[in-house]
Amino acid sequence: MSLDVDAGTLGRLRRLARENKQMGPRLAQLEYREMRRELENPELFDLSIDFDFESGPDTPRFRPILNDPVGQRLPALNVPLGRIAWLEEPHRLPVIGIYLGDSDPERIRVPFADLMNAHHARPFARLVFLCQGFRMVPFLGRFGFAIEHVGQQSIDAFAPRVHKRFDLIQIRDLASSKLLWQPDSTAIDGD
Amino acid sequence: MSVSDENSDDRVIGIVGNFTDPVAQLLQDSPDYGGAWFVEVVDPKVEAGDVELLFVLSLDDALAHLSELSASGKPCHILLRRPRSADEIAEWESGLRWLGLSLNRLDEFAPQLVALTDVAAAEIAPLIGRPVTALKPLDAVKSARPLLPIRRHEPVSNFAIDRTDGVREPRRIEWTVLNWARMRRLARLLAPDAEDLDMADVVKFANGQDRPEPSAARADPLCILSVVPNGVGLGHVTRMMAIARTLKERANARVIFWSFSRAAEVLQAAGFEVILRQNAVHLDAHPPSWRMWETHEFARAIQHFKADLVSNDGANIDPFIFNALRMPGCGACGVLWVRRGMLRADADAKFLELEQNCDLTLEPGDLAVENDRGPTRLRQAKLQGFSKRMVSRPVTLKPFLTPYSTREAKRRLGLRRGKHILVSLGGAFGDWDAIKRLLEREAQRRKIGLVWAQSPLAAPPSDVEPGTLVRRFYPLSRYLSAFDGVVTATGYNSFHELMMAFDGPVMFAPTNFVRLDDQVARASWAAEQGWSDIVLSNKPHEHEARIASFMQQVVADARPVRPVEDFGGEEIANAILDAGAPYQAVGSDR
Repeated sequence: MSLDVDAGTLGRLRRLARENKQMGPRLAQLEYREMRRELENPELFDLSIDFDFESGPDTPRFRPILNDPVGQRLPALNVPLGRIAWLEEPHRLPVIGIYLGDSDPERIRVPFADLMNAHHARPFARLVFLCQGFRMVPFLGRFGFAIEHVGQQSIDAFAPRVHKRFDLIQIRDLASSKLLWQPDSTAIDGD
Repeated sequence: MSVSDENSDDRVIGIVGNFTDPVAQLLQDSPDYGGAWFVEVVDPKVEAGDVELLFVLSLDDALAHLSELSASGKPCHILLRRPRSADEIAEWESGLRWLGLSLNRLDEFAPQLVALTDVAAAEIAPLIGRPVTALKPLDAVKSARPLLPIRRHEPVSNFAIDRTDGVREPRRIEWTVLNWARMRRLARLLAPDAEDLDMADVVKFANGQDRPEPSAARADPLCILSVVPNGVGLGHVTRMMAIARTLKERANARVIFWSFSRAAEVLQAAGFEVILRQNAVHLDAHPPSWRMWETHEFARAIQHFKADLVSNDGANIDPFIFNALRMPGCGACGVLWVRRGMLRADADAKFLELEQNCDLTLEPGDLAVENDRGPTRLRQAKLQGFSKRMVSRPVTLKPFLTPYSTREAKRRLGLRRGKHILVSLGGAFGDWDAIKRLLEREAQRRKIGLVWAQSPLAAPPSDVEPGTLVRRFYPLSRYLSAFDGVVTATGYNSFHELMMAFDGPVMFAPTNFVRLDDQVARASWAAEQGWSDIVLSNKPHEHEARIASFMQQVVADARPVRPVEDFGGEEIANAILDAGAPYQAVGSDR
């Protein structure tokens, strides 16, 4: 593929890059405000689903792709920065898993808001939210975060796969910020 | 459950050679290798760690990797095949002799040499100077099936299927789209090229051999792995839940959702198992890398859950599904394509050719089908393969939901006495603010309350003006008795739920924002039948009069004519069970 572009196209590309640098942070600011507004809304995690059916069981698991030849060849996938933050080269940031071990989202509003404040002000990592339940999925998705539903599995059970999938360097608990896992280790008791 | 519970102690066979070679695909039905997990091994020396046995697919693969195979220390079976044409015979013979000599020099390495048939084994053994064993034949598939000719250099095969009405219908298929384990369940195979001895052997091996005591059919209920895309709203999810509930209640089927939709909790609340996925856009990921992950993990899921069918709801089917189905171990699984009609007339018809990958193409019926000018109604796929096509009666969740009484519905929604209109407009209806103002003004004049419905996936309402009622609830149809009228966009599910479950006035405000859904055609048909009113975004001058007229109907408790309630549940369940039958039948043990 030729990368030759005419002067006009080059000029437009430069302008777009310039505008991206200017508009990216502004857009992130707006998204952050919107997130704060949502987080202050008491109805944020209300989900009025009203079936007569018995709820389905926890996520079924299947043989993970890890140490077999296929697993060794799969590339790590990108993790987005999320819409509330902006950086020119977000891919340079490491990837950290944030474990939302409490399936009641109401109990994690405060630590989540703290984490988002830090992430917005000075992004230090790209985050993968490791959710025990589904309730926070639409909210996290609206703000462009990577999500993995890990259900009731133990950290040691799911960590190797998400490490392989996203090349994440550690898993921390949202509520306590405690380091829970890092590669070549089993679950860690303390930080 | 710990990792060790996940069949991690199952036998793993490493395939050396082209991973989607027909023989690799057929191994899952083999008495010798069936039930194993198959993994692709590119470098046997490095990658054979967890592998119990290496299966080498050809003489060329064996010659290319002989030293690595030997160094791996793993048991090894080398498949020796006959030539593909007369031109290859001399080269093939010298290759066999060379392999024989090479093996003589590797004292520690004693692979088992195998061939596809007794005839092939007998021909090859003297040339290589070692014993060659024929693989145990597969169990023949017993059901009546069409005859499919396979010529190596003709990717499209012509064949015919006998329809139940006695008509013989010509069909075409690119036969490489199917896993051979699947193909043998759908057709009796024929290798017409007399010079291609390898193809003759592969076909003979695939067709298998009758056994005096055939193994029993699997007793498990049908298992479906159901892919739902991340659509604009809850349309895909709602439709597939209705079909899944039908199958669950009719046949105790296990339906596991592979959900790109963030409505995972809705699916779980409806009683289903859900595997939440993220698509390449969610992750802003390199699409080929994302597709590799999806392909391999989907293939694992097919094998782990022993899925009989994979279903996909949507006009397009991502290639990861077909890539996974072509992997060894995934061939005892068919495809159900749920494909809504009423596509816009300008929709590209190319996607219809995906039919050749499917066993059943199910189009949930549309009450407005007479207005359907889209390709699903007016065009036909050139490559239909073995797929049956069915247009059912409409599909909705309504038969599975008990509606609330008016009083209970109002109580649950926190509505006072008086008349209320439910408003659920699509986000892309022309001048949204203008129609909102008109609705509010006309409702206020008549003391009618407007209740603005929101998707449970949307952000909760903020900055709501005093007096404005916003409610997030799902599914809608349980609460319809709380309302005296409805103004809504015209997606498939809303349209059919209202036309078949609501007897008050309805005004449709179709949006054609959804590229492939002709909402205008659907709403226009309903208006022509007198079932409902309509406001069109491109005719703003009509809005005021139409909205006023609609509100008057609400005030007057009008009861417009409506189509007879009809639901395609039973016929859909039967068709899907039929589509899954070849994969549950004799010879399908995995």
